Amino acid sequence: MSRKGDYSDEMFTKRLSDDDVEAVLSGHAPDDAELAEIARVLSALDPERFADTTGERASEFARRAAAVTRTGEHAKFAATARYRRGLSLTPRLAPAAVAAILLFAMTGVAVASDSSVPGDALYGLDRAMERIGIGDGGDAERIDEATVLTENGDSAGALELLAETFDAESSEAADALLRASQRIRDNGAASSEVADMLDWMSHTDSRDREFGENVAEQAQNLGNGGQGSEDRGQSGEVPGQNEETPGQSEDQGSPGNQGEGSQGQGQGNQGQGGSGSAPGQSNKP
Amino acid sequence: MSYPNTPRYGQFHMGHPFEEVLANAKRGEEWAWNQIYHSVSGQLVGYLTIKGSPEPEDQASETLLQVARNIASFQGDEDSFRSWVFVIAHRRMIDSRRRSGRRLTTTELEIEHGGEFGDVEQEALESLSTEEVVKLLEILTEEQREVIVLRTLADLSLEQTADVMGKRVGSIKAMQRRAIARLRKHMDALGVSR
Repeated sequence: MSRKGDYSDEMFTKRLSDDDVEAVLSGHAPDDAELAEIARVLSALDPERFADTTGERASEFARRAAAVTRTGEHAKFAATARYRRGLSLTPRLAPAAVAAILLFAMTGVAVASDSSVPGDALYGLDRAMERIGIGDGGDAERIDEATVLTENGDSAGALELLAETFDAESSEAADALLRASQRIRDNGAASSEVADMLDWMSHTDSRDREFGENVAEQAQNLGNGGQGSEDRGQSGEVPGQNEETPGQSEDQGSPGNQGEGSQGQGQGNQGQGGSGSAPGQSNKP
Repeated sequence: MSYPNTPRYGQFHMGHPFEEVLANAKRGEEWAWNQIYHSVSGQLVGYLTIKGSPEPEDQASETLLQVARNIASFQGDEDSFRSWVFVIAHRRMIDSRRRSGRRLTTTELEIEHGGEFGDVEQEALESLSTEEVVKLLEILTEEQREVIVLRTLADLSLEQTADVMGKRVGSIKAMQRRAIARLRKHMDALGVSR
């Protein structure tokens, strides 16, 4: 249970009750003088200190946010943000590409295509534009697209899309994803497991070899009705999927995938929870 | 779903109940967005600063614009809303790190904000500067630090924090206990106690 290097803290931990910890965090000074001191220190983390005192940012934001919600031009603003990111790379872009960005932005095609997922008419254009560096969301965007596919009931397609992403980074992961995709095509839905994995991927900030191995391992458990990877260690980067999360995120609109059209998300997914119960096929790499 | 914690700050206490603010925000009323900004931006900027964002104010605005883009599909109460905002912020940080291909550490932070914001003279009397606290929090692991900031500055409950970080409540409890234990152990060494 202890993390490397934490052994000495562990000794102190034992003397701390949950109530003590909660008291410190909620700013109530406990009887213990040291803990009271920590509570005092933490009370300096006051949001007021970070607040916008002039109100200028608030007004500017409110104007943009109101415009986004009122006119329903969600995609357009999403694209503006992306372009700004893209434009900071302008030295690498040929002037023609910059002109193309502006043109596309004006016609709205780029906007529409950027939010497209595989199977949409504009998806090819989306990928083509990403190849020349426009609206390239990289892994994050692939994961979002895969999430949309999963929500639309195409978890096999989602895994194929992921496999494509992983091809360069980890062929082991890519192969495992493709095999999982095939199993799902053969055996039927596993969308809740796929959704869980995607959720984990979008939460994990490492993209190292271990990540590839983790993906491969999870993929091996997809679509065979097996127990998924139940590694519930506390050591952070391991896929410690949160048991509480599915229930809560339902309430929160869609904290997971922020894609357009996420309305009604949840219903589609929820129904299939825990279905993929085809008897396990063993599959060793 | 309601959370046991009663927020100490960050409430929509500007004369309109949350439901009304939400409904008007969905309709694109500027005043409602203004109120949303005021109610969460301090916490959001603080969270992003301590997470090592190079431009916390910009990133806070972008986070909230993403909220605006998806507000139509949001259902829930104020607590859910606040969790949702931090879920988005958390992911944006992960995404931007992934893009920049490196991990920011708090030592790279330019902690100039402490002096810029708020009533410095009064703060000096009652508590440490933001810089001092941020410095102290550097002895924690990144995850411990995030838990502490979400639980205190962002005023989220255990459950909300678990939600934002994609972890179990039990893990969050363990992390915060280790964090407090570590802080306790290092307080003297850092000469914070007076």
